[in-house]
Amino acid sequence: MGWLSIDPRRRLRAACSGLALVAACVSLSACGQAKGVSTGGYEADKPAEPVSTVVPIKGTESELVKFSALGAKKVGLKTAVIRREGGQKVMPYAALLYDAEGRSFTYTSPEPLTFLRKDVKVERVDGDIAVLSAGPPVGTRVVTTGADEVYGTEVGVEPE
Amino acid sequence: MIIRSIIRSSLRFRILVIAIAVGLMAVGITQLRGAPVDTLPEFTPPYVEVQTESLGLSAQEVEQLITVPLEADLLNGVQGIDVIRSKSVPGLSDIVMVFDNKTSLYQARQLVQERLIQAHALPNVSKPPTMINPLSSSSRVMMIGLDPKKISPIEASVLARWTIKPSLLGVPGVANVAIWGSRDRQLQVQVSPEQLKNQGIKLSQVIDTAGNAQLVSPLTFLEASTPGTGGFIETPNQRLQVRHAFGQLTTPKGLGQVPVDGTDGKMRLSDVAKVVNGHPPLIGNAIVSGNSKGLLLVVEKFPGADTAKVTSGVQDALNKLKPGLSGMTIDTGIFQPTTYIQDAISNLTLALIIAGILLALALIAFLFQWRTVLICLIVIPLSLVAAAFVIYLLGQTFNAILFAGLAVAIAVVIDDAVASVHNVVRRLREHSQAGGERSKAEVVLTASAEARSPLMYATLIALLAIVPVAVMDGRPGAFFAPLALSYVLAVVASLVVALTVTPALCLLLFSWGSPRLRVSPILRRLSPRYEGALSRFIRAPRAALIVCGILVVAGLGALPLLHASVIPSFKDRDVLVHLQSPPGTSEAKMSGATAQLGSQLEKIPGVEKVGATVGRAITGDQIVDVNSSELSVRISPSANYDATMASIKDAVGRVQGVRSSVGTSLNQDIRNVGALYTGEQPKPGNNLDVLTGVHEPLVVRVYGQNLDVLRGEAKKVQGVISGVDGVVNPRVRLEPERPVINIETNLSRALRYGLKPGDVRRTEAALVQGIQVGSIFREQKVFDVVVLGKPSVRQNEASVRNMLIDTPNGGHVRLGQVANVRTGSAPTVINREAVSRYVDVTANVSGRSLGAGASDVKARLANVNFPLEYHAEVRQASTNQEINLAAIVGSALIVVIAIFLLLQAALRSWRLATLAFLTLPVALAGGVLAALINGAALPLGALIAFLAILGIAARNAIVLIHRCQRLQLDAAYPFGADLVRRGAGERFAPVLTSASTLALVVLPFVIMGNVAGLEIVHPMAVVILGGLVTSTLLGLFMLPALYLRFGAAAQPEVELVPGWTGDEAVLVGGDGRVFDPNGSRRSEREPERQTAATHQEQSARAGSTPPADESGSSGSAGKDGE
Repeated sequence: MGWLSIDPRRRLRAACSGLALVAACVSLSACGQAKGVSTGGYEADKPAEPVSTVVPIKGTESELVKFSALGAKKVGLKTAVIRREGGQKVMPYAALLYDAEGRSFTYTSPEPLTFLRKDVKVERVDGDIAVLSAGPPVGTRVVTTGADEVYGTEVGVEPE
Repeated sequence: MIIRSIIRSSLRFRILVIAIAVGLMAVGITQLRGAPVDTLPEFTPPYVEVQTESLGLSAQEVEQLITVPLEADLLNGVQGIDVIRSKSVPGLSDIVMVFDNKTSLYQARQLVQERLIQAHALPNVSKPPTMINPLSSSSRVMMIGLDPKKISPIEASVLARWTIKPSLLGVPGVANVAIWGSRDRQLQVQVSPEQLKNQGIKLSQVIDTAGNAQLVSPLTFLEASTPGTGGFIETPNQRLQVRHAFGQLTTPKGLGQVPVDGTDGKMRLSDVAKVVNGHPPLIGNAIVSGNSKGLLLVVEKFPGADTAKVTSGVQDALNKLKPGLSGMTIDTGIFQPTTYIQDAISNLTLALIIAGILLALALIAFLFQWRTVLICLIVIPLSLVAAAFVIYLLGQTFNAILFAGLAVAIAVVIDDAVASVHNVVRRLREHSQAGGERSKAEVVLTASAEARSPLMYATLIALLAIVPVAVMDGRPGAFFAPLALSYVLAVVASLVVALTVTPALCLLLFSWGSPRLRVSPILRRLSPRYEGALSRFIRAPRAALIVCGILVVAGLGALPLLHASVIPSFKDRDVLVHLQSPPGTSEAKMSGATAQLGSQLEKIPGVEKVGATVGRAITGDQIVDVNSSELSVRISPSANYDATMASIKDAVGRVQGVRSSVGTSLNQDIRNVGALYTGEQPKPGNNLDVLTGVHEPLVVRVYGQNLDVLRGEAKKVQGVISGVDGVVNPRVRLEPERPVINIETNLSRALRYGLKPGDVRRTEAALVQGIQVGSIFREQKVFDVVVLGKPSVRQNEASVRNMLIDTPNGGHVRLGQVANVRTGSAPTVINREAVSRYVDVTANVSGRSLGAGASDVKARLANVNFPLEYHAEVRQASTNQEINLAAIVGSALIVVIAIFLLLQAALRSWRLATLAFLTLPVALAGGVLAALINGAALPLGALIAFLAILGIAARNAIVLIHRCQRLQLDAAYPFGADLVRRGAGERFAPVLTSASTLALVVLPFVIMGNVAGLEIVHPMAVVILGGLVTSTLLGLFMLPALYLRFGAAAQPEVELVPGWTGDEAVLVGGDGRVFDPNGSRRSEREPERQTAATHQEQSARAGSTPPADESGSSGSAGKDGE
C-alpha cells in the first residue's frame, strides 16, 4: 500500500498531525456553539393546508383576506347586512373596528369567506347598533363575530 | 510519600476510618431524603422588580406619571445595578433592576427599599409601588382553578382575596399568590349625566354625598378624609370607648337611602343614581372549566424552596379551607410541576435500582470474591453519597444538571474502586502463592499505593477536563455551574475514598478468615483467548494504526452531522400555549377566543386538563395587556407524549389572526431568565441564545424622549448602517401601536364655559373609569365605594363625545364642544432602558466578524448628528460575549496542553506522552459514532459523556504504559513483545472488569429511553457505551500494539528523587538485596519471586519463554521497593 512505502517517521508525523487536528476539532466543536434543533419550545407550525390567505389587490393598497371553511368554522364567523333604519345606515356595533391609527372601518364580504376592509364613519352608537354617517352601501354584508381574527390575519401580530 | 503515608495511616486506624465512612453514609442518606429537589438550578441573576398598579391609565400616562419619576429620581443610582429597564403597559408600571452577580439578593432589595420609601411624592393616580417578592428560577409552583358554582364570581373573588390568599401566603416557601380573574367587590354608584341634568343635580353633589357618607374617604377635598376617632368617656370608675357602626351603609340599599347634598333631603342617592354591587373593569381573566367566570390562583415560590414541600403545604392549606368554601370547586391539577419531579424521581429510582442490581451481578461475575464485591458495593455508593452530602451542606438544590454531573463521575468512581481492589487481591494472591511472610497490611499498603500512583495523574486529567465549563460566565455559566461542582466533588470524593476507606476495608476483610483468592472463571477463560489475540495483533502495528485512523476519520466525519443542543428539553407534561391578538383587542373577545381554543385542546386525546389566564393580575408575572393570553395544557401520564404535543401544535396553528407559540413550562422558565435583561422573550429553542435572550447580534440603540423624533432618527440610523460592509438586513424595531381615543381640551372653547382642562379630565375619569370615594369595612374586609357612569355612558366613542360636563355657572356642556375627541394611535407598551426611551435598529453581520462590523458601524455613527438629548449606542448583543467564549476556548487550549504535560509527567517520556495523547481521540470517536446512531444529536448529556470517556481512556493509557515501564524497571524485562504481552495481560482483568461493570450500570438508562428524568442521562449513557467499546479496544489492543511499535526509543528514566506518588527509587545490590538511597538495608528482593509467580500463574500459554533477564542488574535501574 502507498501509505506503507513512506518512511515510518514521516508516517508517524503525518498520523500525529492528523490526530492533533482531530483533537482540536473535537474540543472546539463540543463548545456548545449552537446549531440548535428546537425540541423544547416551538413557534406554532402552520398546518399543512392554509386556513387563511391574504391576497393583495393589484393597483390598490387593499388586500383581500380569504378564509377556508374550516377556519371560518373554528372562529365562529358570523355576518350581518348594513340596513337602513329611520333614514340612516345602520350596522351592528360588533362589526365596527379601529385600526392602529385610530381610523374606523369594517370588513365587508363581497363573496362568501372573502373579506375586504372598508372605512366607515360612525355618527353615534345606540346600544348594539352603530349609526353610520358614511360607509358601504345598504345591503353590504359585514363581519360581526370574528372580525378581530380577520384583522389579525390581515395585519399580522408583532411580538410585543 | 504523601500517598503512602495517607494509606498507611488509614490502615493503622482502619476501624476508625470505616466507622466514619459508615456514619457518613448513614447521615448522608437520612439528610438527603429531605433535600430540596427541583428540575432547574437557581440560575437567575439577582434582580428586583417594582410594580405600580394604576388601573385605567394609558401606557403613555403610566410612563409619564409613574415610571419616569420612579426611575429617574428614585431608583437610578442604586449601587450595583447592571441594567435598569422598565415597561409601561396600560394600567401598570414595571421596573426591573438587574444587579451584578456578586451582589447578594437581599442586600439589593434593601438598597431599593430605602429608595422606595420616598415614593410618596408620586401623583395620586395609582396604588403605591410594590416590590415583588424574590422568585425562584422556576417560580410557578401551582395553579389553582376556582370555579364558582353556587356563588357569584364577585363572592368567589372576595373569598380568594381575603381568605385563600392569606392562608396560602402563610405556607413556608410561598413568595406570592397572584389571582387572575379577580373581581373585587365594589359598591358602585352609577350615574347618567343626562339623568342628573334632568334632575338638576351636579356630579360633584353625588360624589360629595357618596364620599361623606362613608367612614373613610381618600378624596382630600371631602370631610370624610379626616374621619376622626370616636374617643372615650370616663366615669369615676370606668372608661367607656365610643365606637361607630356603619353596618347599614355597606349594602346598595342602605347607601341608596342617603340624602343627596344640596337637595334639602328631598332626594336620595337611589333617586339620582343606581347603587349596585359591581366590580372594577378587568385587567385580566381566567378560563377555568371552559368558562371565563372563574379565578386562577398562581402560586410562586422563593428561590431555594423545595417544590414538593411547597406543593404539599399548599394542598394541606387548601384542604383545611375546603369545608368553608363549599360554593365553588377547587381544582389543583391544572398546573403542578411537582408531578414532573415525581415522575423523574420514580424513573430515576427504578433505573438506579436496576443499575445497582446489575452492578452487583457484574462485580460478582468478574471479581468472584464476596469480600471484594462487598468492598466495591460499599465504596462506590459512598463516594457518591459523600459528594451529594457536601452539596447538601452547601445549600444547593438538587437539580437535573447536578445529577448529570454526578452521573458522569460514575465512570471515575467505578474505575477507582475496581482498580484498587483488583490490585490488592492480585498482590495478596501472589503473596500467598509465593509463600511470603510479610504482613497483610504491608501487602495492602503496597498494592494500594501501586495502583494509586498512576491514577493520581488520571484523576487530575479528569478534573482538568471540566475547567472550560467552570470558566463559563453569565447566565449560561450559572446554569451549568452545578454540573462542574458535582462532578469535581464526586471525583475528589472517589479519590479520598480510594486512599482511605478502600485500603482499610481491604485489610479488615482480608484479615478475617482465609480468603480464597481465586480468579473469576470468566476471566480465567477469557484471559488466554485475549493473550492469543493480542499476540497476533501486536505483530501488526499497521493494522492498529489503520483502525485508529479509520475510527478518528469516522468520528470527524460524523461530527458535522450532529446537532448540538446544550439546553436539555425536558419531557414536561405541562405545556404552555401563548396567544397574542392584535393590540387593542378587548378582554371579552380574548377570553372568548381563549376559552374556545381551550375546549378544542381538551378534546385532544391525551390532554387531561386546560386552564388559561388572559391579560394580567395584580403582582402577577405577566406584564401584558388583555390582548395576550396563556393556556396551560396538561398531558396525561398515560398518553403518547410526542403525538399529543404534535396534536396540540396543530390545533394551535389553526387559530386565526393571532400570534401563537407552544412550549413546555420548563423551557418557558429558561426563556424567562433569558428575557431578564431586555424584557423581550427569546425565540423558543434549545441553544444558548434562549438563556441569553439574543435575537440579532448587532443592535444600535437610539435613546431619546419624543417617540416621533426617535422614529425618524432610527430610520436615519438604519440608512447609515445599511451601507456598512457585512451588515445584513437592518431594521427598525418599533413597538406595535393600538387605537386610542385622544381627548384634547380646546382652551379657548373651554374658557367660554368657564371650564379648565383639569375639569374635563376629572369628569371624564369619574364617568368612564370611576372615582373611589370611600372604603367600607365589613367582616374584616375592605371594599371600595366608587362613583362612575352607567354602562351606556362609556359604551362607545360617540358617547364619550356626548358626555355632559357641569359648568361652574350651573349649566351643562357636551365634552365634544370643549375638547377634540379623536381616535388615534398610541404605543401598546413603552420600554425604557437606562432611564430613557429608546428605539432599536437591529441587524445581522455576515461575512466578517461581529467585532469588526460593530466598530465600522460605530465609526460611521460618530459622524451622524443627533438632536439635543438624543444619542445612539452600538451594542454587540452576543451570547459569546456573555459566556466569555474567549476564556472558554483559551482555557480549553490550556487544558489540552496541561493534559499533555500530565501525561508526560505520568509516563516520564515525551514520546509516550504524545502516543497516549494522540490515541485519546480514538476513544472519543466511539462516543461520537454512538451519538450518531442514537438520533444524530448531541444533547447536553452526550456532550458531558465525553468527559467520562476521556477519563477512562486516559486511565487505561496511563496505567498500561506505567505497568509496562514498571515491569521494565522491576523485573528488568527487556523491551519487546513479551513485555507488552505481559503488561497488557495484567491489565486485561481490571480493564475488562471496570468496563463491563460500567457498561452494565449504564445499560438500564439506555434501555429505559428518553423518559421523564432521563433526558440528560439517557444520551449520556448511550455515548458512554459507545465510548467504552472504543476505549476498551484501544486500551487492550491498539495501545499495546502502538506502544510496542513506537515505545522502544522511550526508555523510562530513573527517578532518583522519591516520587510524591509513592514510587521510591531503590538501589539493588549485587546479591539481590535492596537498599534505600541512603544505604540502609531493606527487605529481600521480592520483586523477582513475585513477578515470576505471577508470570507462571497468570497465563496458560503455550511455551512462551520465561523472561530473559531476571537476574539483577546491580546498581542500575531503580526498583520499586516493597
